[in-house]
Amino acid sequence: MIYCKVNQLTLEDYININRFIQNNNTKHITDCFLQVIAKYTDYRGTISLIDGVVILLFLRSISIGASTTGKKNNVKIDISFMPLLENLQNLKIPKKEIKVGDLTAYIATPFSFEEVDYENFIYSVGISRAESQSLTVLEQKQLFHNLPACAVNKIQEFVSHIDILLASIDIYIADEKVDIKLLNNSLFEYIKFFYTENILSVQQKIIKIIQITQLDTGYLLSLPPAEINILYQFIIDEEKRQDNQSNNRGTVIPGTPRSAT
Amino acid sequence: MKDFKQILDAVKTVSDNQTVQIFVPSDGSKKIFRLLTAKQQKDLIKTVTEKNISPILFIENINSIIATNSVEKYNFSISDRTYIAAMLRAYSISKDFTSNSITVDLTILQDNNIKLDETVCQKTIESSELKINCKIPSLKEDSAYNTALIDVSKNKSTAEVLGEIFIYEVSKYITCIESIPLNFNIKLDDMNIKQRCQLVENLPAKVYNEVIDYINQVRAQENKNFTVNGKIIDIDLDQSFFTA
Repeated sequence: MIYCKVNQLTLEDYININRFIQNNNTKHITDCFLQVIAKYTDYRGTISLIDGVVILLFLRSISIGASTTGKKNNVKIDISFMPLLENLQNLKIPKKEIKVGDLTAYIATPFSFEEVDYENFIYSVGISRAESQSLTVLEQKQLFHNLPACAVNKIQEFVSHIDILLASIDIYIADEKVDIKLLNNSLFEYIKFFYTENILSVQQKIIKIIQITQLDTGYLLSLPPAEINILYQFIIDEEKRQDNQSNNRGTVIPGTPRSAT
Repeated sequence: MKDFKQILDAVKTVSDNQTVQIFVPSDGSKKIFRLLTAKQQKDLIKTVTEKNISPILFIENINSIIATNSVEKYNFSISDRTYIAAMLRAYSISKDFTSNSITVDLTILQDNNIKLDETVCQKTIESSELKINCKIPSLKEDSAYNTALIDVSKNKSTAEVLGEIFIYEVSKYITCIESIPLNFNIKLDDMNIKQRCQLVENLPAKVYNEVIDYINQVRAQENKNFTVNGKIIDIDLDQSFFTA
């Protein structure tokens, strides 16, 4: 578990994420999420997959909301990811390491939604955890090639252990249990699902807001999507209120004092 | 904080110094081997993803590991392969091996130091017209067949590949085919692998089956080093053997 400050996502970046998801290139989507994490949090270390998913769900909850609309038997229902977020935050991920003489290589799940190789799990090496240094992709490969064979077993044990922890989380989308595993892309699909909102409706809302309020587009794009919804709702309510007022004015009986209506 | 090259050198030194003495049945002596590295284990497991040629690639990887990890240069025989592989697995990955729900400590095999019987190292099979000289092939010879087989097996169905594997397996045990009535004496070493297999494919069934009997005798000899308390520990040398 890591602790970091998280800022609200702007509508502009949210639209960009949606575009990447629509293009459906896993590498690009992974890179896009990594950039989002770097931009909106103060965390600067190597990020693990579970921590990355927790940050992205938290970012989604504070910027857009913690639920989305799904369908069950053709009926619209609200689907919340808060149970998953809470469970993931409470996961006790084991610390695995491989001893090689005086050195220790540390294992973590790489933040990648693409297929990962065993070597990508060796994220740092040093005499102690405090002194350990992060590795580049090339260094990971070189180091892995020279580690004793038990490294592969440690990584396999690590993945199985996390999968056992994930299997204990009961997550349902429209009454269907989601089989969450570390390397079966389920977390990726979950994140994609919650970052895929109907962009068209958001764009329609922005156009409506601009038409009525003459607010600057750049300013609106810099707001979090949740605030756009609030602003839009406020404008709609205000429009209705004014309509009601003018309708009421139309029914005033001539000769009656205004204060009496 | 050390620079990465220093760290890498330190890891290499540790890995190189992790050695074990393993009995080599064809030589009847123990030889020093470096333990498996993570890459070697990963490469062995990864061969499972190759469709038709997966078992050949796997065996080729084992041959290469035995040659690379042996500190002393030696012309290893096919009959050394399973025993050395089992010991490398026991000392590098885990000594516990589970087969048919029974877990065996592979290190108990280290006391089985039975030299390959000279009588099975070579054999001559004779029929009325043919004389076939057989010999246990070396890993180097096995690799030559494997390379050719990988080439032949590309773009072939699994059934076709299995047929090829069978012929290649028999061919590698034959060194010479002689016929006095037909006046020829062919050393298979003088032919390319494809020609050798074509020749073996056309042997009379009786002779061919005698070669298979010889291969089975060799296997029975190899099994002596896997026998504990009168029972053979059945090891299928495949990718799953290298996952603990």
